[in-house]
Amino acid sequence: MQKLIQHIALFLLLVASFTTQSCEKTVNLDVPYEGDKLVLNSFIQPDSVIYLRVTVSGKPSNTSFAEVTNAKVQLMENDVEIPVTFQRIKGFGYYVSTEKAKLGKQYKYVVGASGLDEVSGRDTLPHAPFINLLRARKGGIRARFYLHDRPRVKEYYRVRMYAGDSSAVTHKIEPKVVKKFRFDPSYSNAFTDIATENYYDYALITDERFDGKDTPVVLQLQEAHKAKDFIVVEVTSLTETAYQYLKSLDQQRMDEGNVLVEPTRVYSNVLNGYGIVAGVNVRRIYFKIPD
Amino acid sequence: MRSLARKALLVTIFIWLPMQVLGWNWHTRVSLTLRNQPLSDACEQLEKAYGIHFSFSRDVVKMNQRVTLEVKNEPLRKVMDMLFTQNGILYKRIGEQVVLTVYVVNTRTINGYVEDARTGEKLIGATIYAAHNNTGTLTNQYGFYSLTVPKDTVNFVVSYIGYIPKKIHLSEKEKNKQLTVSLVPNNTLQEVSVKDDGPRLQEQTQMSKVEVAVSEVKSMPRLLGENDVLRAIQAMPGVTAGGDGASSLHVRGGSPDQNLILMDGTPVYNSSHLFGVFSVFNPDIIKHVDLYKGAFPARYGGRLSSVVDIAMKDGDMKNYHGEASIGLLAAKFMVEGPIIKDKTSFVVTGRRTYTDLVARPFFEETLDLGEDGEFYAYFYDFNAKVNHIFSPKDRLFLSAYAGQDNFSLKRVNPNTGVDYKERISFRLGWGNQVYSARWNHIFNPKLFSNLTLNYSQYYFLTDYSYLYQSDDKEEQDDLFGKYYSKIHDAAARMDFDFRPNPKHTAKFGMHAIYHQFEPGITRFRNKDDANPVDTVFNKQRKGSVELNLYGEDDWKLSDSLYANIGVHISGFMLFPQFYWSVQPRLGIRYILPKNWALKMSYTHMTQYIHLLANSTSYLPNDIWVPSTNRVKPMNSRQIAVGIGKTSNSQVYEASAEVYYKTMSNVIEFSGTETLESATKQWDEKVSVGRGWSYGLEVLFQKKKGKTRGWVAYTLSRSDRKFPNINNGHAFPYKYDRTHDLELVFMHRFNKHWEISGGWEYSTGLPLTLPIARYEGISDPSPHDPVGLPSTPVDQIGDRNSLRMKDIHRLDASVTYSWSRKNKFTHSLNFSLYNAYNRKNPFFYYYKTNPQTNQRELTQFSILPLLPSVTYALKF
Repeated sequence: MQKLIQHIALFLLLVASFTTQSCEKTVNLDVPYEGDKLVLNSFIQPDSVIYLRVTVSGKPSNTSFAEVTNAKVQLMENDVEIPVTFQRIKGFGYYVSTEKAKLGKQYKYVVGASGLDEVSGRDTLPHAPFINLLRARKGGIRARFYLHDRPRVKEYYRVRMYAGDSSAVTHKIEPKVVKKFRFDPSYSNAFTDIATENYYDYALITDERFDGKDTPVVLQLQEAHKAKDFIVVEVTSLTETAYQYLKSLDQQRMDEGNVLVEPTRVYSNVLNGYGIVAGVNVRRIYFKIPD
Repeated sequence: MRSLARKALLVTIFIWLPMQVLGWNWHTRVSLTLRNQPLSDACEQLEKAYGIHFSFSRDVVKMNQRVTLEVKNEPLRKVMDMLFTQNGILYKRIGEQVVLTVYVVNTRTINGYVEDARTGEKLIGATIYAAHNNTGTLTNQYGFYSLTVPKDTVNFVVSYIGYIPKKIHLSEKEKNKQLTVSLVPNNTLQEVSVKDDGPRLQEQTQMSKVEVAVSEVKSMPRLLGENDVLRAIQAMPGVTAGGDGASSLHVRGGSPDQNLILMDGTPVYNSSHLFGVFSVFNPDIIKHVDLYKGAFPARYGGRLSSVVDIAMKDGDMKNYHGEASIGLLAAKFMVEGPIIKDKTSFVVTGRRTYTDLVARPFFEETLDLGEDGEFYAYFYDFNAKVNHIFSPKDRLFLSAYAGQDNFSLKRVNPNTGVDYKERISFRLGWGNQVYSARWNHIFNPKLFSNLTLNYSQYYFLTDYSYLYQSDDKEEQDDLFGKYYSKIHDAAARMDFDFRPNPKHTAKFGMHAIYHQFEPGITRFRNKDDANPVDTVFNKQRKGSVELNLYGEDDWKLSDSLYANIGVHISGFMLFPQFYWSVQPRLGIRYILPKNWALKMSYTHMTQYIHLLANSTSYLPNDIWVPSTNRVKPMNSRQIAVGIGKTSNSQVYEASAEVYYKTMSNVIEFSGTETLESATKQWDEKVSVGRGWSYGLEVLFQKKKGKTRGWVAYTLSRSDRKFPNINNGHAFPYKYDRTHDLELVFMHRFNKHWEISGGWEYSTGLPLTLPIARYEGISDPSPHDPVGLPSTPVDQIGDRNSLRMKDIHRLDASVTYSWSRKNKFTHSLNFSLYNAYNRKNPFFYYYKTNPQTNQRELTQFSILPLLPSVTYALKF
């Protein structure tokens, strides 16, 4: 609701500005720079090796960031160190653990690099979400599935949807392209999206409205389903740390250029640096649109 | 020896004989002891011990009054005063007797109303002055006055700026007198309007108060053809706007929710239309506006930072008048007149924006609403008031206000080439409803009362419905959603105005308010056959009671020293919590040489309700909530010192003040999730902190003549501090402006032409910007579909640690008025907002330049040069 009001207010501002030939111009202000800091980014998935990306922060005008390829990385699983190796994947450098992460363990990084302060961050891992019964129909713009929430535990979820396809390697249906959707208003509170043309890449929700229930979730898509296409729904359980990071990041992106709000400071649990070290747990289900 | 004895005998005889023959005189020293005894006992003792005989009638003089007194060797005059004068008994020596009579009142009280002779409109702040003994008083907010003077005071002058002073002569024989004084406007050049300036600064102990003349509001340059009383107030020292074009008020570092805005004594919770661009007050119905920035009189309470007390017109008791105008944005009308001449009057106004009606085809096409689509976006407000005189002592006022901002659209099957039907309707609106009934009663010449019953409601509402059906009817949605928040106030208040003598003007009363909060209720309904859903979220209504008692006395301590001493006591109960507060109010005035007044004030204010706001701009969906265990009532303390003077001719006025204000228990949203509703845990999502502000305000005004205007300068600083915002460090308030200079002038050349202008210069607003940037993440593995490094993250710097560029702007207008032989007067106003098209900063953000691919700090400006035309017709 707040977002809607802000958007309408901003819309009016923009209408006012366009109709009144308002203007933008580049300006120089003496904005202080906090100095280079190490940035740790790692979402830790149970039953998967752990990927850590280490970079260096830059000035607000920066569009790219230097990788740290020779960092001293210490990864601890309940105070027991796990070796990591530096690997280049799809053109980006990662520190990759040699062992898979396990549910119920706590993971901590301590990272140092020459000329920069040593940084650290830690988190635990969340349980996997339970989702099933994904359904949709040809020509329709909706997809429905069930989310089974654990009772009396505060859960945080991220929901995404993809167009799926069969993998040439695994012969399994895998997500390929993100499909934009809008979340059922009953759960997101963003019911006014109905009246607008807003569709999103993902939705971040808590179980405040459906704690402990088996809940039908309806996603409305921007484009109608075609027969024989595969759709994939991805639900990620998040620790509170991961949720705070993603939610505040989402907020910061949405508020960009919004004069009506204070800029959001993105949550970070990295001491002496920036970034996030947090547990996530991803589950995906797919469905073939019947003819 | 015999000679000596003879001399002693002679002396004794000479001393003793007069005492026995003459008995006593007023210097005779007497001793007397009375312990809760009747006055008659005193007479007996004096008679017995000193031979003083008393004569009185027991039917007339109350000699059974009991007194306690112990004096030794005191002069008889002093003892008689203590015995009789203090008990309302007059004593007089006649021969050898003291004759006692009842005390004869040798003063009289004149009271009544001061009104406009042409319309019967009561004048607030008019002066009734008796030069004979340098005594005077002012009319109160209902135009009532009461002045008790010695009976030999027979000449009075009643005056009010913009009116011809009137001399009144009373016969010495006349007793208490109720007298309604009608003043004739002296304004010959322009259409008569109530020029509502108060008394001279040196004649009022009140400080930190700004009075804005409605005639000046109407003369000032307009934004999009609309003049606005709150925008005029913004041009006063100590008051800043929320941003370019906004009508919100930030008074001495306070936020808009800390302003008590009263319309005929009833609070208005949201005073703006169109997201704060215009205020809800139609200037055509306003009679008088007072802004208190500090030194709050004891009768006001419930908010921390300011009181805007707006009195509506009562309606012309003698003739019908009307006014209609159309500007770039809105059209409005006003009609007033007698229902029963000199007994009952009415006034009605209405205003609506009409741009949506004109631009509807454009919006319907742009928003792709389909053939049966609809689009509305407007605001309106409506005022009505009836005023009835039952008797010279009783008068009734009924007033009503309703206003709303409304945005709605309906989209029907906008898409072609699809195999489904779709219908969407959406509505968004907010508004106030304010009703009041007030009964003025004069109990006696010195005691005036006002009983008010009022109701105020503010609501925000949005709802939608969505119908979707595939052509084969296998898939369908029937959704309905509604969200609303409300606050209701029902209040009863009794105010007394007691003027026992010219040295005292006392006000006291009580005020009870029932608040009902509905802080963000959401309802969803889905008629989907498979899984029908009908849920209500956060359905809660909280009721609370606020009680207020107050008393104040405007006290003349000496010819040069005055005090206003008051206290406001309030309690707030939201079961089981109860909060209370004793709020002292003190004002001192000392007359310096050359008639300058030195003033000082101390005030304590308490606010029991909070406004939950996600944004910094105070949007209409912000939610009013009561104090809780965790979020306690807000408190402020303010001290101010200043000097002021109005010239004898009342043409010029100058004042300067310094102030220091502290605020505690202010709240600010601190979470990452937006506050859609004030759930029971809302207080866990806000940070509770404190604020403080201080500054210097200087105002120089020219209030009379063809050229009028003012120069206002403010030097100020306002800070906030919250434990979990900005790492616990203090930061400047969002709308803190270090320097603010305002120049306003109006000049009337003749009965046809008038020009006006306003120039503002102020320090840029505080600003928060990123101080670093770094890479983000969205997925655990680079092999995930969206697994690669995500959009970069901005590291936000300290809150409000930077400043935007300075702001300056010139507004100008010219008005041409003409009238034909009939009763109609026409006027055409041409206004320029931002006349030299200054690109003032509205906000800053980083933006990637597509040509250089560089991320650059960009300034965004709104509201460039905006011309507007308004045509008005009066009769």
